[in-house]
Amino acid sequence: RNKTTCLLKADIISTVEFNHTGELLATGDKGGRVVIFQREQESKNQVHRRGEYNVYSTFQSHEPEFDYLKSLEIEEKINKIRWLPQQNAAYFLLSTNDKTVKLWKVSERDKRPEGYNLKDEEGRLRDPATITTLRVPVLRPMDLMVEATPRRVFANAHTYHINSISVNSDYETYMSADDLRINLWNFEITNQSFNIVDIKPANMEELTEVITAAEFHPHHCNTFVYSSSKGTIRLCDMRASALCDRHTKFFEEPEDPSNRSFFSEIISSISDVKFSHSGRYIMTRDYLTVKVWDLNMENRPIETYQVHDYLRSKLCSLYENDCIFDKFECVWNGSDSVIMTGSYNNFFRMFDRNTKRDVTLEASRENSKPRAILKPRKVCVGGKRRKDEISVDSLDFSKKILHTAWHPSENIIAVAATNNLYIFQDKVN
Amino acid sequence: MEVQKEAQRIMTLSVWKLYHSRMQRGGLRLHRSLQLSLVMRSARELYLSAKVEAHEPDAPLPPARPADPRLHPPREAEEATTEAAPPDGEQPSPEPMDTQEAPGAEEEAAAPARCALRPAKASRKRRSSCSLSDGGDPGLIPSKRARLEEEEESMEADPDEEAAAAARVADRLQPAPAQSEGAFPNLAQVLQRRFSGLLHCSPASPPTAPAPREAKPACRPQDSVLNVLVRAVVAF
Repeated sequence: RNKTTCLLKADIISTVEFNHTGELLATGDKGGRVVIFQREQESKNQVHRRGEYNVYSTFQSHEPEFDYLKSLEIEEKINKIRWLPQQNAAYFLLSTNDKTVKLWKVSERDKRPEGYNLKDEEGRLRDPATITTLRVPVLRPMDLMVEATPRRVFANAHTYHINSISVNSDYETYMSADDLRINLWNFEITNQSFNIVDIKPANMEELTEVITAAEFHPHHCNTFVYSSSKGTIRLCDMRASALCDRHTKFFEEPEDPSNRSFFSEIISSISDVKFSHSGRYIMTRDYLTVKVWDLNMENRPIETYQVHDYLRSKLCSLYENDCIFDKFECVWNGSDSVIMTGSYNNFFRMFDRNTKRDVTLEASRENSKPRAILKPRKVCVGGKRRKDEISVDSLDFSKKILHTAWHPSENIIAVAATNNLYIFQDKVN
Repeated sequence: MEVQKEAQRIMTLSVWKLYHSRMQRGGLRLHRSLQLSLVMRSARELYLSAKVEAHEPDAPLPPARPADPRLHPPREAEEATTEAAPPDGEQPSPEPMDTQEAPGAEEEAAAPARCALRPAKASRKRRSSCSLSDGGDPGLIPSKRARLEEEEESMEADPDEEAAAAARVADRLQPAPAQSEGAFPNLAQVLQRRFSGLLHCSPASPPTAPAPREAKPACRPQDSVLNVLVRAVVAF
């Protein structure tokens, strides 16, 4: 290798999320920082120049902490960011690390009060004896400043590592899920939370599965789902009981016995679960596939998409290098017609649910000149390799795309490739 | 035999990963520990069934046991213990482990001899592992004195530094002695019996963070990292 690239672990992006209008895009990284991008207003002069995303605000959300009681360090890595719908001029988002959820307010300031009566220009209090006239401060314009302030800190509610947060459609509550428990919070109350799911066995030696992801229904504020490491999804109704240990629906696909191996159990673990925008479907991601489930059919998914089935014969090596534990996310597009998820070698895949066509694209600097059209990629699984194809053995497993996001209404996607963020837009006709 | 070797290798790897995951930032991850123990259990089941097949057909099978997972998943993160299946049902005399890297078949009886080969500074650990091979439990229950001595040792001895540091970490994460009696003799005994042949492998530095490598068509030959792990484990 001629070039040495300095990759700071803290810069690795760990979550990506558009807000509800798509105007803002937030990323969190392993160093506990949040960077928010804002889409530029489209200018009337350049109709063909779509709004581009530029940095809007950067702040340190979480710091590393130390739990003295357990002699454990708490990582500052941002596991998830979720936006609240906008209700006034300020933006609000939730960000979480392994143990603590924080509500951040991001607001603009473009005016500054000047001319205080009791303070001088530098803000120091003036000697009262020298004050002879009354002055009322006036607001004068200043350079735009975007400030982020932590409004709430929801701490000390999770023994295990938080993997998900989800804002409820009532906009008053949200949930946080760790390996064994899910808690319901009210945004206004930080010293209390309701435990709504608890799968911790009385005897930890009998532990067989953990919670891997959880999400509220987009419209029904009483309904949520959570996925497990065994490849199952449970839908719960909070009206049924205070503790939702008994599910309302249980989604599980019977295992294909021909696919059984050492690693069957761990590759069936669901790494992400997402409701469709319509609320009619849920999508789950396990190590090799993406599945779409109809809420009305529990015994099997309605669609299964192979993300990188060529890895099925490599599971042993992927276990050795820990790649088999990678947690890929999945996203819907705004109309629920296309789903997207990441893979290795900086590849990401899109599946059109209607046409059943799929495409593999690559997020890399070499292939991404501005305005260039992404070329579909193909992995050669054996036999003769064509010119543009990549063989499975040449894939770079250190370049993985775990986090992607899709604009809520337009064909704009954000793809996190290690420490780089790529934003792709549909080409303008 | 190939199947047996492969299963053994995966067991070894899983134990190493389980152990190594303790020292990660952020502490033990329950999901990861569970997944590792599941793989270890599958590998162990395969290993045992392959072993049974390899023996004469009329050899006595291991006594029937309830279907509960033998391989106890790790306890809560704050306890941070790992357990292996209890060694019940296993043959009383350990079979020699024939591996490509071991100079020859090894027996458990070699354990005291191995202990003698260790550097003199690791006196506490040596005694523990010797008493383990005798089947004695008291050596495994950590005492305050043991911890202090290990800390002193770890400051002096380079070769044992990693193992001592690991032992310190493990000691700090120990459950109450009453609980550990059940867990640790099992894990250590299993390792002692299963992998005693590998202890003669030249100590190689374990891959601290296995860098993601390109997947190869076949699994690589096993690493000789186990001896570091076993040294650390028997030091409990």
